[in-house]
Amino acid sequence: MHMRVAGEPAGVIRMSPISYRLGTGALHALDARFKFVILIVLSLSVVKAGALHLALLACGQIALLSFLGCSFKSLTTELRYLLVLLLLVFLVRAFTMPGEAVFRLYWLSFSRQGAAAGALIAARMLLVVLLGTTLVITTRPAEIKAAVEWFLKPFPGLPAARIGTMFGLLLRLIPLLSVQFAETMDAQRARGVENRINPVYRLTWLAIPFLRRSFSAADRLSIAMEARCYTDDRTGHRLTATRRDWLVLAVGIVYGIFVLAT
Amino acid sequence: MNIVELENLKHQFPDGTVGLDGIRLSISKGSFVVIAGSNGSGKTTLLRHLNGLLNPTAGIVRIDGMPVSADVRRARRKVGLVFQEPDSQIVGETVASDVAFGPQNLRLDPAEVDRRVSAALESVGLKALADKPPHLLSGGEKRRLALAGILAMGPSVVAFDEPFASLDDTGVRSIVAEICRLKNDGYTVIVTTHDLEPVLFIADRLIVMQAGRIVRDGFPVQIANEVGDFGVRKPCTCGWPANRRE
Amino acid sequence: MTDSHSLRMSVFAALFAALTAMGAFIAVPIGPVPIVLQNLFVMLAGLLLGPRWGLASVGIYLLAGFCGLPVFAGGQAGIGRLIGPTGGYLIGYLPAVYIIGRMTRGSDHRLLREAGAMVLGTLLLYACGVSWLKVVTGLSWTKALAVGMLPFLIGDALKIAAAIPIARSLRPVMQTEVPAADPMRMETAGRTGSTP
Repeated sequence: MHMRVAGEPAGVIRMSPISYRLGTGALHALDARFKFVILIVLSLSVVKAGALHLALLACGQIALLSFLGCSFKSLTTELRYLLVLLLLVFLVRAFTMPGEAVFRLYWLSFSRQGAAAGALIAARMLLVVLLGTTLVITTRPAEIKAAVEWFLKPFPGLPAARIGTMFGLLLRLIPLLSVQFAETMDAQRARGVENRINPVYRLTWLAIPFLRRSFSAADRLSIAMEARCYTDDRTGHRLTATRRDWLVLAVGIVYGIFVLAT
Repeated sequence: MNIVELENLKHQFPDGTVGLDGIRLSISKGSFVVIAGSNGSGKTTLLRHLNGLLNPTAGIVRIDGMPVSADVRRARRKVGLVFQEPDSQIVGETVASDVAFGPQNLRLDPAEVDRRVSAALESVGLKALADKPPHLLSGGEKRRLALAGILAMGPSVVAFDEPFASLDDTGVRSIVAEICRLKNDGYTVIVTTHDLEPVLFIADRLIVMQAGRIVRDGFPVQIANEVGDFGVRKPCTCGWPANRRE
Repeated sequence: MTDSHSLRMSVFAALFAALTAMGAFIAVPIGPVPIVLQNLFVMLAGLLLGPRWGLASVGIYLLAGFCGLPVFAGGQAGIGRLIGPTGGYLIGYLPAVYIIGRMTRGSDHRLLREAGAMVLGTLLLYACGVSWLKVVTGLSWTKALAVGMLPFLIGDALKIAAAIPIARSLRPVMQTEVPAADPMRMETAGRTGSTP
């Protein structure tokens, strides 16, 4: 998971190789707000969908992802923990649910009904994850930010602009902090922290200098934002819906309803 | 015409230490001023008064004829601060979105924001990196990005706080080149440093600070010999004949 | 103009959200099993930011992940992570950070109160995490607890023990208001040419 990219400083944590990819395709051009609505509608319909629609959606998804340049192999390595968990879900269901036994393993019986139920749950979760992946690959973080701000705006009491700003800071701070953490860890190692056995001591003397440093970075960041005239009432990212966006949205919703109805 | 005027500026921190002790200073428009001094001499505190990040205990700060306290936003727009550590100034998750941060805060319309972003990136030579996340940039590139973020707000004064700290030679050269270009474009440039070497021959004026006061003020090559007394390294080039700059 | 206190707190909340995101990746090799620092950062957010901003920090992290920003571990972008088998633990951070912040709010930071708040917070976390794990996998309660809680308890006890001195040491830093803090001391970072 700690993969390094050329030119990246040591210690940067890459949260995930599944992230935005530059592109000019139809999905990239689609308004982020519409993508969110379609994603939610499809995710909901997946929760209710039967085997036929799941298979259909899965084929569509896999085709789409490979078209977007996401190889099957990179997807499976990236999702390996989830896949193991889902396999576990499948096996637990198959072995614990009463029903017509397919085979027996010692005192456990693998039931057909259990296997079907387990497979259905696992497939649904996997599909929801894949749908999310498609959104992430085709949408710039700035557009996601703007769409979230747009959705939150009607809610009173939720400072939409501030939330958008905090999203941006969050994405900015992760690589910065991970480099600082790696440096602090090395500095402690250079001073022989490994010789200490008390784990609480080690944890404390790692976290305190690291957090001190990150706190002063946060302090300076807030001063610099003030110096650059920060205000919540600021120009946002432009989101413009075209006729095609509405068309895609309509198709998505109609399909979702169709799945839910059948 | 003076763009920056400090009148008897005093600053005392909450813990009682005196940061600035009666500073009188006028900086004329379009000039390039270097402020030198040891750590704790008050250079950074002085810069922070220029755009209202600190409030004076006594005295007054005027930018382009108007007191900072009368309109802090105006002062912040007119005086761009490039902080010492670019990492704690860069807010955006990509290069372009960071440059857009300032203009968006000024509530410019989206088309104008885009125009300013691309102009600022063009001028510091980072156009090609617009979509990169900032943590992939080198030290010098980060500092130029911080500068672009300031330029996009359309300031008249650009103030750099220790711009040469922890940079390699290439980085220092690129910052010096930016400073020269800013000066030629008519900006007023203020640089704090305790390394005079890179700026000695291009600055118009050198101000030396100690313990919150201005102790020397003059033409750089003439007073550079004396900086050693105030915790600033005497530039090696100083021993050369003083008439080198003609 | 935005007031500087709320801006500063927003930056700190974003900082803790980033720490929480990172915490899923960074493991400190202590004892036989490396311990992951995510819930340590959540507890510290409660202790240092208080209930409101602590909740904001965890909320921002979850919302960002939910909307598909790359902050969740293991490439499980978006909503899938939350409804996945381990999603309950993430949701559980919300009540945990709130209760920890709420119980330790104010000037009085007694050892027992802080430890009690974190124990309670951790229990709330497992209440959410283990129940969702049980729902998704269909395990029995005993098995779900054995898989989803018991293995982590020793690490959690260590983290609670460490969180108290960490919070003690950082609280003064946190509570010093900027910009008056002291820009003089800020000048001491990396330098060039300091030899006379």
